[in-house]
Amino acid sequence: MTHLSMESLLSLREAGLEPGDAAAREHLESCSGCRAELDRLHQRVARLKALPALRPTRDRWPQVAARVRQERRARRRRIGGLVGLAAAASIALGVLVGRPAGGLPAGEQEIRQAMARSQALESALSQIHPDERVLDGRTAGIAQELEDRIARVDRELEMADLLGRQTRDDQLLKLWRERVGLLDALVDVHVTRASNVGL
Amino acid sequence: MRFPFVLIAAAAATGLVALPARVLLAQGRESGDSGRSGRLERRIQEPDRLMRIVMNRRARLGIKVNLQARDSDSLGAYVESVSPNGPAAKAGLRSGDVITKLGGKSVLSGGHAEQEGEQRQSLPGIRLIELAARLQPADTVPVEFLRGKDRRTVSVVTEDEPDMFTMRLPPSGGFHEGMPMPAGEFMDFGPGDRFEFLAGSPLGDLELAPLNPDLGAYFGTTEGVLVISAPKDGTLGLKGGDVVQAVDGRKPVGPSHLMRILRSYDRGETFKLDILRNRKRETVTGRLAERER
Repeated sequence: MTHLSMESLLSLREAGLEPGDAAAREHLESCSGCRAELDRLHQRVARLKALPALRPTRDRWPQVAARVRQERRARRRRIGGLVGLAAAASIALGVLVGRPAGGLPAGEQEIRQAMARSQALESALSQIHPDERVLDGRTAGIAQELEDRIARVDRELEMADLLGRQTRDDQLLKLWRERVGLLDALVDVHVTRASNVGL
Repeated sequence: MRFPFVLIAAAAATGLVALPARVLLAQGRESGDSGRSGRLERRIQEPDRLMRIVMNRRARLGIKVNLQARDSDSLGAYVESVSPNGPAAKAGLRSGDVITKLGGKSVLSGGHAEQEGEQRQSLPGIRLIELAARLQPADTVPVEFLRGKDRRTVSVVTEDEPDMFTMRLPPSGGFHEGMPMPAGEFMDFGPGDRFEFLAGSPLGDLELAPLNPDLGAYFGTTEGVLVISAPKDGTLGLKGGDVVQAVDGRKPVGPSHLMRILRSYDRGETFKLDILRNRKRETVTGRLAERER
C-alpha cells in the first residue's frame, strides 16, 4: 500500500467516519512515516489553535457582517424556492391546525408556566454551586454541552420574541419548553454527578 | 399525485397571505424602494432592526430579557432567564432581577419602539438590547439592577455569542434575512460527538477541584485548579496534586473553566501546561489521547 493521502490522514482525525478508515489505520500501524505525518498534522492544528485570538478592530465589524450577510443571501437565493414552499406549507398547517379560533392566545398561559419552571430550575441550579466542588471530566462534558445548548436556546428566544405575534407564541412556547428540558437535565447532571445519566 | 400538489399550493397561498408584510418589506428593501406603505413598514421595521442587532451581535451577556410590555417596565428591564454559567450568571444575576442600567446608561431612556395595537413592547427591554449591541466579547460592563427593593451593581464580563454555525439555512421565500430558525432543528451534536461522554472521552478520568483558601495554603498558591486524579495513560501530562495555572497561556478560574479550555483541543493535539508540582513551577506538555482503535 502506498502512503496515506492528506485526505485519509484528515479523515483519521475524525475516527470511524470514513469507510476506508480500517485500511488506513492498518497502514498507519505499520508505517512510521505516515504516523509522523499524522502527528505533524495534529501539532500543526494545535499550534494554530494556540495562537492568540485576533479580533478586528471595532469599526471593521459592520463591513465584515455586511459581507457575510451578502454571501449568505446569495447562497440562500440559490437554494431558495422549494424550501420556502415547504416552510410556508408547514407554517400554514401549523396555523390552521394549532390555533383554535377566538379567545386569548392559548400559548400565552403555557409560555408563562414554562418560564416559571425555567426560573425555578435556575434557582435550584444556583444552590448547587458546581464550581465549588470536585468535577470530573465526564460530568463536565455533559454539563458544558447542555450549557452551550441553553445559551443557543436563549439567543433563539430573544429572536423569537421579536417576531410577529402569530409565529412568536408558537416559537416561544417550543423554546421555553426546550429550555426547561435542558435545565432539568443540567440539574440532574450536577445532582447525580453523572454517575448514571444516560445522555 | 393531485393531493400533495393541491396541499402545497393551498399552503403556499396561505403562507404568503399570512406574511404579506414581510414579503413587501423584503422586496422593498432589495429594490431600494423604501417609501411604500409607510405606517405598516414602520411597525415591522422596528423588530426587524432589532432582529438584525441580535443576529449580528458579537458579545453576549447571557440573559434573556423580557420584550413585551409589563408592569416592571417603569423600573427597568425584566430578566426572564439567565444562561447557566454564562457571563451574567457568573456575575450573580438571576432571573427575576430588573436591570436598570448597563454600562452606566439607564435603560429607561432612549428606546423608541412603536407603541400601538396588540404588539406593545417593553421599552426598557428594547433599550437594553440596543445598549448591549455595542459590547464586544471580553468587555467588562457594570450592570445595575433591582432584586426586590434591593439595588445592586455587578460587573459582567461578556463572552462570545454561542456558535450558531450548526444552524440550518433558514427557509427562504416569504422569510427575510435575520429570521430565526424553527425551534429545535439545529440542536444536533456534530457527528460522533454524541456518545463521546460515554465512550471514553480523553478527559473522562480527569478529576479537578477548586483551590479554596485552606487548600491554597497547603499547595502554596491561591491561583489555579487542583488535579485530584488524572487519566492513567499519562497523556495529559498531569498527576494528582498538580495545580494547573495556565494552558497555553490561558488561566483557568475554576474546574469547569479548565475543563472547557481542555475540551477546546482535539484529540492528538498538544498544549503547554504551567503547573505547580510539589510547590515548584513546571511547564509540561499535555496531549489529548486519540480514540482507542
